[in-house]
Amino acid sequence: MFFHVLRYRMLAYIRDRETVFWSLLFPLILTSVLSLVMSGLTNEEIVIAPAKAAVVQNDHYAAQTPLQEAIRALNADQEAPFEFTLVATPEEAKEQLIQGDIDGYFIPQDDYALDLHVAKSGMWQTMLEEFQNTYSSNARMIVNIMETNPIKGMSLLLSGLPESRLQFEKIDPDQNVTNPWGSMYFAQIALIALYASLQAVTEGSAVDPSIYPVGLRQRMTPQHHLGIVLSSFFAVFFMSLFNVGVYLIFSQFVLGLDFGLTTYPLYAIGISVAGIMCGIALGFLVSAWIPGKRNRHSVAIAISMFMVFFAGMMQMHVRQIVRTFIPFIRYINPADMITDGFYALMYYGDTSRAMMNIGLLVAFAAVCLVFTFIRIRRTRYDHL
Amino acid sequence: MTIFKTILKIVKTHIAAFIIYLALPIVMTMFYVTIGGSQTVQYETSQIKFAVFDHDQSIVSTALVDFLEHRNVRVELAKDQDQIRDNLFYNQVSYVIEIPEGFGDELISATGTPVLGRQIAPDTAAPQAFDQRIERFISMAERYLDLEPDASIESIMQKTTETALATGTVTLDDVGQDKGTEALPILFRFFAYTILNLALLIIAQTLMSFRKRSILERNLVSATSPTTINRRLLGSVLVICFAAFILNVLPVFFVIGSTIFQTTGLLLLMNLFFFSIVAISIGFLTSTIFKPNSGLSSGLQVFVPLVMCFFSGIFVPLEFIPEHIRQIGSFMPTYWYNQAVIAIESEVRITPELVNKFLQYGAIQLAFAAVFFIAYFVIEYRRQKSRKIVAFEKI
Repeated sequence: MFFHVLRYRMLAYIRDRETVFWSLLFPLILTSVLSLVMSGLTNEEIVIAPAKAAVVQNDHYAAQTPLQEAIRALNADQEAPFEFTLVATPEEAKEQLIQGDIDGYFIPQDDYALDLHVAKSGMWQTMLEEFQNTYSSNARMIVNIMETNPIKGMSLLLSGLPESRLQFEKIDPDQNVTNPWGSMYFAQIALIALYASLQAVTEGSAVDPSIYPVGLRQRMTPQHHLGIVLSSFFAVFFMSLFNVGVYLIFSQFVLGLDFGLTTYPLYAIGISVAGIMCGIALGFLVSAWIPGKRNRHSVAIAISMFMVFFAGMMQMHVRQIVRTFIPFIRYINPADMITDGFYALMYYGDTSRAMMNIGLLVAFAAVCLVFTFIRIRRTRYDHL
Repeated sequence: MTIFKTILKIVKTHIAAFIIYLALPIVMTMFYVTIGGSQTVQYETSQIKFAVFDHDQSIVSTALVDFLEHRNVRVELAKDQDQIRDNLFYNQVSYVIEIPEGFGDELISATGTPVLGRQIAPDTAAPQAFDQRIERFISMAERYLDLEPDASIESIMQKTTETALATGTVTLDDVGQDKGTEALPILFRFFAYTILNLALLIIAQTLMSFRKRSILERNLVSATSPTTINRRLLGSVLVICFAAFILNVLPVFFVIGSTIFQTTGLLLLMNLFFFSIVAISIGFLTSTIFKPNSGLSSGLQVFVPLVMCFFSGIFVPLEFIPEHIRQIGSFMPTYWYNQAVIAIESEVRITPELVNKFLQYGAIQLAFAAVFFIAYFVIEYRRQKSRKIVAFEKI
């Protein structure tokens, strides 16, 4: 009887085209579109455009050999963050600024000073300001040195400033964020897993004789109520597992998104399975405590959408804002646990954090199932 | 009036989605205000958020941190790996420095190699400028140490800080640009998504409801002629669309006030108006394509605006989108809406060339609208003809 009910519940699931669209096709199509559009957004491919500036060739410019040298060297370097053009007059430079050809222009002054002119504030203007400050402060340093030790000052002027001995070292060598947008895909897995709650609500209603005729028939069968609920549970579980499996395999091997199926297969499967269990348990909890089929669906959709929103699916930074201001939310939001599990695995190779999330997901599912059991174990009907 | 009330009832059944698409512009406007939509007329440096873990606590490390705090924002972080990772990933902090014990001694000794621990936020240009600042300070300290080996470390650090803080003059030129409108294009770019969704929600859902067989047959036998019904339906739908357009741009008026009435703001409003006409035409066309009561239609109605906006660079900057996707995007009206926004965004001042370019993009959008309307009328005309025959056969 268990397998009989399981089989027919799975058939009912497959025949519901709307459910199949939202739980399988929609995430697949959405991810395909996202990956197509964002394929140029991985860190290796992003080339940050240089800040463009014009330099006015006045008398002070002609007198400043270090400035000429610096501009020549930076223009020769293809990877330099600056791109300079030389113009004869400030008016010409201003015209280029108006046309949007440059982000700002420099007018050399006496005492190795540089005046920067911009039309707006922004990152490129700040970079130009940084160049201006570096040049001005280096020039001031050479002037100071000339006053204290003219021979050393001359030698610095002739040979240029020697390279600093300073070296940088990575604090966190495990950081491997090649595609920061991947976090949005992790939240999508959470969405698919939580969409299982919708089907679980349908199944929870299907075994409820007061709502659904099928539930009435099932109640008449010579089987324990818990057995019927379990067969529904496993029907949703297998179908959701199929959905997540198809999504992960398609995304990883067709779209080229990395979900750790090859590097951390056990953890990736563990997070997915635990996530689906959470979704289903949440759905059964809602169907046990909320009266009315329509209300149950609305509540399940609202909870799922809020959870994925807090997990950063619509706007990545929301997740961090929520974790900062309402830290306990992460312990009651399975979408955040799923996202965090994949995030820790894929960006930092942090298996212990992934394992902790799997544990939290299992605990969440267990709590939901316990509350569901408390509600339905003594359900009796006056008549059927 | 009856038709108008019925349409309001249909909209009411989708009230949640309606509220979301009306609330999004308010959220975006608030976001606009926080990212610098104020009417500033002075140049402002982009400040970098950084965190420091100073294990050295020497004169050198303290001077370095003091220097970095100048015109940057220092954020306190707990020494917890997960917290550091999360803050960097979500750009709450752009740069984390760990100054190891003995860093100052390594710098002071002529042959030592001072090593700084560093972790930067992915996907941002800010750390480049910060690297330069650190290198500048250390390089200067090295030169002064080399020049005055017998001087006290305090005086060397004081001299280094004074020199490194030497800044030039930055002037914000008046080139006839609008003030405080820098972030306005970002806001208006996003409106394409909300307007498109609202148009689909109002028009497609309403017209599909009126196309249901039972309602059609009832309307055919009513005392009001089908032409009058269609005219009233069209008028009511357009009134609600216009109200939705107003509600979309109203938060902008309230929050930024008279800034919107500068040339940039007016051009952006005009561009949005052109696009609203396109959105209405798409709403009409989709109502003829999708079947009423089809679960798939609501899915596709969510999906169509998403695809159009993604392919046209509404959500992701166009320069990051691969060339072949951009080519596909150019067959969508959202692409030309975005092109007009980009044109306004990239120019410092409104010039006649820009206005010409802007009108050209507007004309392309209106051409799309004309094509969609013609397609709608052709399909609807054929359907109306066949529908009457079916109705008479039934009688």
